[in-house]
Amino acid sequence: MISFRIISTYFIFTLLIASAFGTEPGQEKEIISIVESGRTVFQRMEPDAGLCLSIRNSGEKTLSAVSARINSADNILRDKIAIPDISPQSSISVKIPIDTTLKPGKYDTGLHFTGMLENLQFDKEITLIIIIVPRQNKDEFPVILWSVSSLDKIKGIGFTHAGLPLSRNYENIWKKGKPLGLQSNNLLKKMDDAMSSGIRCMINMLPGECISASENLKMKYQRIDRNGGTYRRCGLCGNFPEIQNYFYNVGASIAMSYGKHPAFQAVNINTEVRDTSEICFHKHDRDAYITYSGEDFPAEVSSKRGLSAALKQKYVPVNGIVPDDNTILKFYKWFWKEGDAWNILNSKVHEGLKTSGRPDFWTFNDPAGRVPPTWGSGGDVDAISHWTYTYPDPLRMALAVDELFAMAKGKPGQKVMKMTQVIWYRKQTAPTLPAKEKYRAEWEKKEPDATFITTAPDHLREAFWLKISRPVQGIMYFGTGVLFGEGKSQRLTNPETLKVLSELLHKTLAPLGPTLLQVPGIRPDVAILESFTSSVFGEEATWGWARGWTGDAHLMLQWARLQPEVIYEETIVRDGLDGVKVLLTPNCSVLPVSVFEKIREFQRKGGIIVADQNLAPALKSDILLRKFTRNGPPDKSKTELQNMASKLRDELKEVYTPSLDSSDSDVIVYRRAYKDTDYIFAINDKRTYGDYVGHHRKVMEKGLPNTAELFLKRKNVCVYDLTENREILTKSTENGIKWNADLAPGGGRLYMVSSRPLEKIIIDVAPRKEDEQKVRISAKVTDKKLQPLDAVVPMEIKIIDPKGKEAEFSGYYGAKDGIQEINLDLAKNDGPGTWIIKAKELATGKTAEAAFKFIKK
Amino acid sequence: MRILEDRNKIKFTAMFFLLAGSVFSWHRELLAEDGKNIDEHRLQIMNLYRQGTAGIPELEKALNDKSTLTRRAAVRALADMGEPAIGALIKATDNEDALVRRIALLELTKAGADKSTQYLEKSLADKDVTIREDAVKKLIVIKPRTEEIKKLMQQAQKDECMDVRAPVTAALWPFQKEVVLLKDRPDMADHTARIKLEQSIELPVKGWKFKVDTKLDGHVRQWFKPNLNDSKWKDISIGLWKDAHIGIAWQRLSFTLPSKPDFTAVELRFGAVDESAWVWINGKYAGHHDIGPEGYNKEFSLDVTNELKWGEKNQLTVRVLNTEVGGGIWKPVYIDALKFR
Ligand SMILES: [Zn+2]
Repeated sequence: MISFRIISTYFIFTLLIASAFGTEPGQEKEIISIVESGRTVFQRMEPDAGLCLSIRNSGEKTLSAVSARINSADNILRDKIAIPDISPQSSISVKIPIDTTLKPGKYDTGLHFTGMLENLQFDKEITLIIIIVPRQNKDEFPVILWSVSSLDKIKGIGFTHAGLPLSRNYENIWKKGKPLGLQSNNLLKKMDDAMSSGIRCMINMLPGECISASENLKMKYQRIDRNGGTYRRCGLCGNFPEIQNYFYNVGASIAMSYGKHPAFQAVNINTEVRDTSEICFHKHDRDAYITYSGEDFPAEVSSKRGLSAALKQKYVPVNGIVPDDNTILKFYKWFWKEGDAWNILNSKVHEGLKTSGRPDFWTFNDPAGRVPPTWGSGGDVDAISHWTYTYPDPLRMALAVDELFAMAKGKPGQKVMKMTQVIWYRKQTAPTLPAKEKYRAEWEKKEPDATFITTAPDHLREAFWLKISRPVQGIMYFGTGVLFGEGKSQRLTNPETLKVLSELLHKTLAPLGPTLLQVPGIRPDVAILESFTSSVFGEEATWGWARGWTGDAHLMLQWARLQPEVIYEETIVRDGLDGVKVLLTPNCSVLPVSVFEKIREFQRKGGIIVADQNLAPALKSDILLRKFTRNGPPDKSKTELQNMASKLRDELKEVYTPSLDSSDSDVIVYRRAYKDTDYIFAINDKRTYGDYVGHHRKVMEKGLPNTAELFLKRKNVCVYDLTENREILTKSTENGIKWNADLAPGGGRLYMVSSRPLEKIIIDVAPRKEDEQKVRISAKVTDKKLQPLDAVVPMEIKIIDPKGKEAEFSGYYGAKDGIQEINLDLAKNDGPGTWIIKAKELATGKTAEAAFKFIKK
Repeated sequence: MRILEDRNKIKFTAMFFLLAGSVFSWHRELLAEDGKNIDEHRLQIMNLYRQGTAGIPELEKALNDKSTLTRRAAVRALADMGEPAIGALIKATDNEDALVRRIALLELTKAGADKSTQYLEKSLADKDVTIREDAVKKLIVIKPRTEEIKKLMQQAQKDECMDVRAPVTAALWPFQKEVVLLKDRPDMADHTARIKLEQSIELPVKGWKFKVDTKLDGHVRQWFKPNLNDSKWKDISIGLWKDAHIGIAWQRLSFTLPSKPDFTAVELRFGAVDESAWVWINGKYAGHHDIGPEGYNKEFSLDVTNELKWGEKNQLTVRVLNTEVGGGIWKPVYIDALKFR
């Protein structure tokens, strides 16, 4: 007689077999242990899915005739596999295949083991739950929470992805000098949990931390200044070959360890490292530059921020134009692309991670904007991202994202994401606790010592609309503490914000996100030049902070309703300025010859240069806007910049009026287009001081409702409000159309403008002949001639199984060219009966329904 | 690029959608532009530069075109011609449009240009601040600084606008002191390890006086004098980073020092001043820290061995320039007695 004791922890099943051979009760010896290595949740159609088990025989006799069998209620999971004999004192790993073609669901499963220890038979069943989750809707718009709290909670809010904590100790990879398996069952289990909650995972990877944490390694590998000393705050020198290999190896190790888990979809590589970049003076750094340029580092360079104003005169002629191979310019071009090595290190981690071969896995770098205006920040990552605080003006969000698009211009195919900080620095929004209790806001009474507070709800709403107005491929939020009240320095000081976020994600992004992912941006005819060369010679760059004159100039253009494109010198040199009518040049006091020539050519062809008083004297502007410095509370600055905006519109009027406009400078407009269908955003920036932080006069945090008349230079078109699923009545004007927009505080609207009216929605269902388990659904949005629209039309599709439950692939879509196709793979355990397909287009709310019968063979 | 190839091959991606070509499609012309006629005329004017000097009369006429942008295009073309267009440019200096005047005046005040001083003077008298600012930028770099130039600079120092006054004030800054810290003295070159901090006295954070220098002439009014009556100045504390001022402000403190310790040199050390600082001790200029906005968080020291009075009351004055958020002395200030051992 053999007795068993089973210990089941959160993720490990240990089978203890107490042998009867002379053992007293309570002195059982572990003879056979079976450890399940983590995964019990699988994605439908996941290849090579299986339960991984490690079986150890700690006894003195061979374990033979072992088999494992999976039993489930309806006996549909694959069963019985034979396991090789296990010698005494040894282990084997086995994988028991799971049939992932089954329909999504929870499967109560018994794992049945049998075997012989000499002539004694053991026989035991462990019960567990295997979950098969539906495949991800590939149209889903990614919404990432930087770090996870409760998975259920965040799914309920509308996030699609969550940051998981991953141990950042990669010491062994460094020591071994090669990729290693790091498999943590704990992490795989977390990924399982996430996947069963409908959440996919992101990981923050900072391989450099582990090197810097060791005093010896840090001394050897940190950056050194011109005198061989160390910088006060600086990271690793990435030009050591072993550091580059290590970064690759860490990426490859993560891929090897977790890369197959379908929930693991994204890595944020080397966040914030650019802040710690400095010019490094190792011999190999200087040699690298000699290889690149044939010259040693210029004698005057010492700071990544460029040359001091005092040294500028030596290199810059009075007309402000320098040769493209100017010694200093050449150095900094090299430094920000290759020399500081962070682009290279990001690429190394990315390459390592991509060894998993997963097509749905992406890498990104955030904040990628901590560089002067130049292409290529982030290296080869799939997407670049950047975080922004919403104060004092949420419109700042737009500059940071427009800069990312300018940066990505140098890497065709690279995508852009955008993050909002939900935390607000208290010292910048509500710094001094009012001395008298009666002047304190409610939260100041409850949380008087908060360091970070919650972003005001109307700011969050406005920032959301700004982000999604741009063709970003994902958005992200940071601030679990201020959202859920789980932090120490972060405090939940405004519970409304979470409600607003949840509402935006459910009511706006979920239905419209799939469409937004597929509608490209346009090239606007107003551009704002951020000059790399000027930043090298003492002019302030934004460094992604969206502040200073450039930040304010971009705000001013938004308030002028002149949709701006941020343009970099490299883009002008490569693509010219064709299509641009107005070029704003803040802080452009020094330009390279190549850029100067393109701008002069642009002006000679009729282009309008709008410049501040410091424009390189070789160029002469058409319109002068004096450099603006904030001096006073934000309402004053906003009024001043809006006055500047209306002055600019006035001066432009005789040669240029925008093709998309609003009647109110607080209603910002933005256009994107797919073929001849326009997508128009209207966003409400009307704000005042409220009772949250308004009494500090640092931020106008309270949004106000607003109404404006929108104008579009197009005729004979239909306008649909996608946010309300209805057609809008427009008025014809001399050269276009007008319509009214009512906007909630901080709110926005999205309109679709189509040249053909949307008349019908039609569903076709076509079971494929060769296999009736495969069903193709096609939903079309057409004009009255039944021709699909040349548009991406938001659509909701419900697939209802014979039991009346929503099945896999039910959800929101963006029907490109008016057509959405879905291929269903009916499962062998899908019951027979009638399936119903319901489709609703979200431009006017028209619906269609179709059905098919599934007869089991 | 490998990743891109991968992505192009495989359609089933969670996040990235394949779009034909780039994320941005080319700007599609909507309806015909307004103002097309004005624009065409402006282009014609701009193209006159191709005719060389023959185009001058037409360009000169265009200086009074009804379209402001056309006028500006005309003056640009004239300025590009230089010498032959001088006459037209001189006329343009009286144009009603400030930018037309500016472009003409910039050309006429080019270094080495004939009668450039005359046009600098005219620029300084212009009602447009940018034109006056342009003149100042040129004045301050002219060498040698003749009496005529100095006179113009002094005139500019009285300008109503700070953007005009500030650069001249800096250029005419009368206070100089070469500060050499003990560790930087040539005789200490090989012995810096033997310099010991004997005593460090932190100055009070409270009891400071504060005044904004809107006219930028505090130094002319000698706001650094020990016996200045600053009782009406604002009371402040230092040591906190807060939104204090943009521009120039002065901060003053009286403090008493204990009896004289044993030292080789005494240095006044500022933890940080946002952004630049000029310092007087007991009415004597002690030096400055002025490396631009980046200096806002950098520690610096000034040698005050000969300026301090031990066992007595002392007076410290700091003139602070701040161009962006924050401003002022925001970290502690120390008096360090250093001893060479
Ligand atoms: Zn190095």
